[in-house]
Amino acid sequence: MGPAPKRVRVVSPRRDARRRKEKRPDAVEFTEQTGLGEIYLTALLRAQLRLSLAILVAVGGILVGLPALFLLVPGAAAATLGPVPVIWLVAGVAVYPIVLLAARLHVRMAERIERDFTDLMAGR
Amino acid sequence: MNTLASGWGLLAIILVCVATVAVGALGLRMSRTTSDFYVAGRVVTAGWNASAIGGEYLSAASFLGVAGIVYSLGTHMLWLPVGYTLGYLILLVLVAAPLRRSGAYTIPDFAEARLSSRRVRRIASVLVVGIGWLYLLPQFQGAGLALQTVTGASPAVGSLIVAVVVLVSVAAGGMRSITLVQAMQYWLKLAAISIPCFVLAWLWFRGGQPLPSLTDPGGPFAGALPAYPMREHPLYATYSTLLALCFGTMGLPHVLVRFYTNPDGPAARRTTVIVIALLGAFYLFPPVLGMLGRIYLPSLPAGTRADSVVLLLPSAVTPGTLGDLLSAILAGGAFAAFLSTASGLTVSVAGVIDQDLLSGAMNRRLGGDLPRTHSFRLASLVAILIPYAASWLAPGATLADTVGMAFAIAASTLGPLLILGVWWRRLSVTGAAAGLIVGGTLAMGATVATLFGVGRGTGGWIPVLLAQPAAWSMPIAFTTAVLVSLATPRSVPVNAARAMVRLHAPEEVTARVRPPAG
Repeated sequence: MGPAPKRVRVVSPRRDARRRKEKRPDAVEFTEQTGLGEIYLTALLRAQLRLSLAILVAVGGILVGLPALFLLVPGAAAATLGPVPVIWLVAGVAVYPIVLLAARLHVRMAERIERDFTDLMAGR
Repeated sequence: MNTLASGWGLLAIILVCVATVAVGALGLRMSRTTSDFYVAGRVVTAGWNASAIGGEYLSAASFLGVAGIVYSLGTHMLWLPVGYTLGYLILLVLVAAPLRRSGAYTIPDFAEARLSSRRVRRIASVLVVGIGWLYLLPQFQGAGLALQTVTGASPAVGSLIVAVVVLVSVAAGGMRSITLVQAMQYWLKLAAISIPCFVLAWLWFRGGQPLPSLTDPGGPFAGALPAYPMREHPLYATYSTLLALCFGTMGLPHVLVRFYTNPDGPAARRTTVIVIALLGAFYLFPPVLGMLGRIYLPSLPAGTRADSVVLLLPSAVTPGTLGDLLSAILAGGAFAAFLSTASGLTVSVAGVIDQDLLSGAMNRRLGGDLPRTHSFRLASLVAILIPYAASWLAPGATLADTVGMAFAIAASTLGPLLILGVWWRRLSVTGAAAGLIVGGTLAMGATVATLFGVGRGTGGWIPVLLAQPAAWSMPIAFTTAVLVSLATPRSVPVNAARAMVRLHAPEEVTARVRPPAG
């Protein structure tokens, strides 16, 4: 009889499944290990923030202006188009497509910024 | 209202409740694991997800409250539904994609992922539960109101029905069934408000009532009706409310959860755009009902809240079967609104109670033997019982006002936390905690003072500032968080840069890029 077989620890193959990380540690490590990542990240952040603020300022301007117009200028609130009050056409109808357009514009621009960043990181 | 009318209304409400439970049960058969239970296994498409967000978001305040407030206070309140929609634009441009990429399921999850702090997490949990409960309150009150208007039953019955149906569908089906239910509820609500609105507007157009003759210089639709005193300083109130809605939406407990069911950041953005379109389509109708209310119901019966104008309008326009039928459709839609918002809030509040309060305690006591789904069900019970009890005690503020306070608190606490967390690398743990505590104390203090009527009837600025606190409490919260963070640079989390990459880098990069070789 030869030497007793070595003891083998048996564990469930799925034991680590829960703890598996999200599958994107590479870029995170890349950013941490190279100073370059830091610069790229700052540039990405700035570009996105500038875009967001531009959209906010544009929509915010409409928002600050219109209630003041309707509350402070009595004629504006009373104006009608036939039997339909103009304030309803503006604040009850027209404002929604404008907000939707602003949202679509933001998505398109934000995705472009991300595409540029992806190309940059891939070295293309 | 006659018996036939109440019969129709009751039938509509029963149909909505049965459909909710039935679709919930369908989802139950498909949900198997804890992950399904919580986040629908992340297999929900953008269109479904957006419908579900819309269905969940359009609450009693939207279905009844918007029309009620335009009816009673006039067309300058049209900014209220605009604010409800704009909240999603702000959410889109400031936090949608980063929040999804953070992988957080709840706001406390985000706080911990971004700041690596159990302390901030706990403060955020308390705020989420508080805001959720405050938001649940008017849902119960609205349900009581709707059932009372349609059938004459005591308000307690309507709230009880909503509480039970929500508890059954949430505890049984979890998130997957909830997604199906909510998506269905959006289209139900849109149909239930648009069809009566078209019919009533057409009846008026065909030669109904002449425009009301009010003395307000702004014409028949501007200015408050005599029975509802105009609020002081309307311009301040409008701006403060808009600010609360714009920055509060992202901090509502049931909103972030929905973003987790998107597969990635860009999908979260596209879902938000669809949500904005869906909400805009819905909000075309309630103000029209409010304005028609001014034409046909120059005054409401004594003791009737302005919130019920939507339900009373059809019979005033066209008494008889058509009016009864339209009332029934509107009552069913209103019930769908209470059910869906209350379900969404209950899932989120229960999720936080379960993760942050119950699970730990239960595991210690039972040695971890309790299945996750059981503790979630227990948490659902807690999440719904407390606001249900409170709806009995709370004095009757209007639906839109109570919801407005929940928005104001969210905008003064969780909103700044999310915005600074997403965009500012130097946010420190101490700064975030200080911002949450200061903003929360100020906004909640103002809310409690308003609910108990501090300064009511004295006129002047104090009651206005307390009723609409966001305009001052939100900037103070932001400033506190920033100044304290700058003063405590050493409590900036060490992995802040890593967390920021995770939030902002596109998925393709994080999945593909390798460190440069050599």
